[in-house]
Amino acid sequence: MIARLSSTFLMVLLLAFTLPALVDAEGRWQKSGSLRSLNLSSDSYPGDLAPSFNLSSTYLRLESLWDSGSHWQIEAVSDYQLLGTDPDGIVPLPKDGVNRHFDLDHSWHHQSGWDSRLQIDRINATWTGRKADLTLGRQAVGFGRIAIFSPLDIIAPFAPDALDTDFRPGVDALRLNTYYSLDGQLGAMAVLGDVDRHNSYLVTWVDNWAGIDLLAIGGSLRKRPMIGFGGAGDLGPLGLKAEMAIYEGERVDQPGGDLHEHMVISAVELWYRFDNGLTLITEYLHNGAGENDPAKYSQVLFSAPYEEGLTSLLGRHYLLTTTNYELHPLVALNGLLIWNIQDDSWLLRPTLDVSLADSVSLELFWTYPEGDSPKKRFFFPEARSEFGSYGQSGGLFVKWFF
Amino acid sequence: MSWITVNSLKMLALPLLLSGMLTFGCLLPPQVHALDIKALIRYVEQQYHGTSSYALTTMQMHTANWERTLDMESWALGQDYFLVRIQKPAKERGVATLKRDREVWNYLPKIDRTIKVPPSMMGGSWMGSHITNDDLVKASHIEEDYIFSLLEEGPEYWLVEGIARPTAAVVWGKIVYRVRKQPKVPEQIDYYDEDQILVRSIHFEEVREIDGRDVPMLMTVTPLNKPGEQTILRYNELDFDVPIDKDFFNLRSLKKR
Repeated sequence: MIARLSSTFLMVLLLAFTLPALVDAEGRWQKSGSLRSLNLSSDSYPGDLAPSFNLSSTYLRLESLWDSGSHWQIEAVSDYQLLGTDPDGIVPLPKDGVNRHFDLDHSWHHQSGWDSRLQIDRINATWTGRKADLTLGRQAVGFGRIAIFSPLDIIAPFAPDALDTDFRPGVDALRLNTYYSLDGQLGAMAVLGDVDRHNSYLVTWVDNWAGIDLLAIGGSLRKRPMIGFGGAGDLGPLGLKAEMAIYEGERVDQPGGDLHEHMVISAVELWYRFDNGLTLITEYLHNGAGENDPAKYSQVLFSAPYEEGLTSLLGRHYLLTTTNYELHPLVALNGLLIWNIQDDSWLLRPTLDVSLADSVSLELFWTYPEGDSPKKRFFFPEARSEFGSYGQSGGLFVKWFF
Repeated sequence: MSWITVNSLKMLALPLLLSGMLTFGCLLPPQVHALDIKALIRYVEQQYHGTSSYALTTMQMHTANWERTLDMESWALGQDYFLVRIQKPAKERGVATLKRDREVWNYLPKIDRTIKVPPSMMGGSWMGSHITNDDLVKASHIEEDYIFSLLEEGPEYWLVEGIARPTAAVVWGKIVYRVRKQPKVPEQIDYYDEDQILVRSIHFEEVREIDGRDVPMLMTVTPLNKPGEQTILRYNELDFDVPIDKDFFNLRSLKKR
């Protein structure tokens, strides 16, 4: 079985990197890649939720993009991850996720706490016409305008505190975009999930009216009927963005289902750059997939929206802020603050971003969570706040792009 | 949130930078009456607005301790329409910025994300270069913001001084252009602060005729308060009157790879 999977995988890999040359030697073929290494050390979590641990994750990514120069593009990307943890296995390798129908992923467990994973992260073909684009295959799908956490970025969003956000994971999809005016765009998308009930069928609309980007999305997201809309514009020098997504719950009250019959995820975000160069982005987020009561956070952890990555926060009301300040042309100090307003816990992460060369960078980060620690109830820890349940962690992320 | 990196934020200045260079560096009118300086400036503005261009450029930032290089592909229509896509380094490859009138968008292809950029984010320098945005943003309004006079005329050059109007919200208190007569291109532009202290110079070299225009292909920006530092912007390829119109500068073009 393993041999068959491996050979299938290798065939796909070979195809991905040779197809462009076979199809048309005249086309433009770009090859690129990256080698990135994330190393993190974490304190133990309060209430014995988790012991202290160390993690080292190295990614080798090879990208290939062929452009016919007229109507066709073919993209193929493979990604190899080597993960080491101490204690062994405390952080598992990521899985394919709910938005991938085809098994183009293989994992190995090595000795002494090391695991590795090889995956095809992109393999797609795009046809571009005069008024339409059609993309078929594993591709990156992003939506929304809000930067920190966009309620409209519903297919494969990043968690607001994610460290590794250089590449959005590809999803298996068929996407059609048609263009009817300067910025007017009407789209339709089918995303094939790992099981049938994780398939999504969505229509999208984007336009720009009077200097305001308008967006709408609707359809079925993993069997949940949903509709969402948003706008991005300016208020004087201030950037102002607002988005809302409304869902009808799926498998409510069932194990692994949604927690609510209806849920609304909405946000307002402000951008401003001060004269001294400090950039500030602040977002208020209403997370309808979360819970008001910290005692119910564990239910959120096992709910479908959390498992699917639709939300990565457990509470309902948040203030999220990011800052950026250039200490030197090659050194930036970035900050992230996530404040759970209701349980009054927060997470602060300062990051020093250093450019070592044209394509080499180093990030040094420290994550400091604060809040009420869990308490023991019948021998089991019960959360009293979201970020009070985490331990401090810090580390570095080195990246080389080629 | 690391995708909102300092580099992606700094990208915002790029269209302004390049369109500004074209304004100052490439498009002086073929016939200039030496004494009618305001007409000269107006002519520059009007001529540029009707011109489309395609360019491949390399930007190098030098200091005593480090150096960075960036390759870009860009399209422009007048000063209000601009699209630029990074080719190198690999870290930023494919990142694109669209400027249309007063609106600016960034596109980050690795995460398929479009960012609409508010006006306040367009300030500051770009990628550690020595070119600030503010003066370039206002390049299209330079005739309105400055009072120009002829300081000096030699057999081969004009020296034109622009003094900021008291009501103008501009960074530079004074700008002095040294313009060569044959061919009619700028040689140097000096920028003075509000206290009339010279703080930055831009020097133009390597004049070539492209599509009937005399164009300096190399621009060197020297901040006088930072000895040893320079930003060099070089045109590797430049074509005028390329077949693009306003409709090209849309969000679809921004996302094209």
